[in-house]
Amino acid sequence: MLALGQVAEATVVALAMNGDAAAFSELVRRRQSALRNLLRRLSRDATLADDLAQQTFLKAWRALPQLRSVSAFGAWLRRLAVNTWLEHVRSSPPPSVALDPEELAALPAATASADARLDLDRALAYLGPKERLCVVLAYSEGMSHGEISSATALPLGTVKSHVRRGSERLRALLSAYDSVKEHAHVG
Amino acid sequence: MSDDLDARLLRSFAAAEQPLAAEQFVAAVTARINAARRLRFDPRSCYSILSTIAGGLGTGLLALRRVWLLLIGAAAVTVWAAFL
Repeated sequence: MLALGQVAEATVVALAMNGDAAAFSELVRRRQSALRNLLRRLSRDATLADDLAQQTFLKAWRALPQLRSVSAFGAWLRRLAVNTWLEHVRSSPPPSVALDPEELAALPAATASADARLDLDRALAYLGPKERLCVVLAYSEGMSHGEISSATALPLGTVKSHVRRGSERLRALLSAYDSVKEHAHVG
Repeated sequence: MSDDLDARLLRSFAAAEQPLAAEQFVAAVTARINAARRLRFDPRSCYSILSTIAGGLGTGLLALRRVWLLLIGAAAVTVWAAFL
């Protein structure tokens, strides 16, 4: 008899849909890393991201019998995670981090002096929640604009604009970060 | 993925992905699910609660002494038992 860990996901999903608790735990085991990474990119807070990921799996456990197709499980779970995060943002909106050109120019000096690392998560903090969501789904999850639009209920044009502007801002921030590192190496 | 994406950003996102250990997280999710299961009423426990309250009420009325105390006690024990 095969262990659950060796069984195809569609079979594990079908078992979980019939109330098999061990099968659901196996799904959590398989999907947790990707889901937590996605929520970490979105929330920039590992503890909050893990809490939201747990909420997502709890919702999935409750709603799993309503899943229409076992092959849709991954996309369905991701949509649950996105909705859980959006609910969180609506109930406790994060402080907006506006960035104008002057701040961007000042950023390398500030981060260098504080020895802070402007990594991807820090750069993502400068995007608004929905812009960040679209960028993360496009780059981290490999979703097309159309898929993002249907997963987030945002109009397609808005998604395109969020991805384009968000990408530009991220590129600018990461370039600024690179120049800080270069200065640090030279100095 | 059909939309044009920036190669440099794709690399940054790929590099930021890290495999996360499952054990503690799976245990936390399982604990939350078990807690939610305990809080969920099923028809049998509702029937059990109602019948025990009715029994307590009958006993209290028959005794005609400290009726409310018996009622509250019976209800409390029943609710407590339903959540076990």
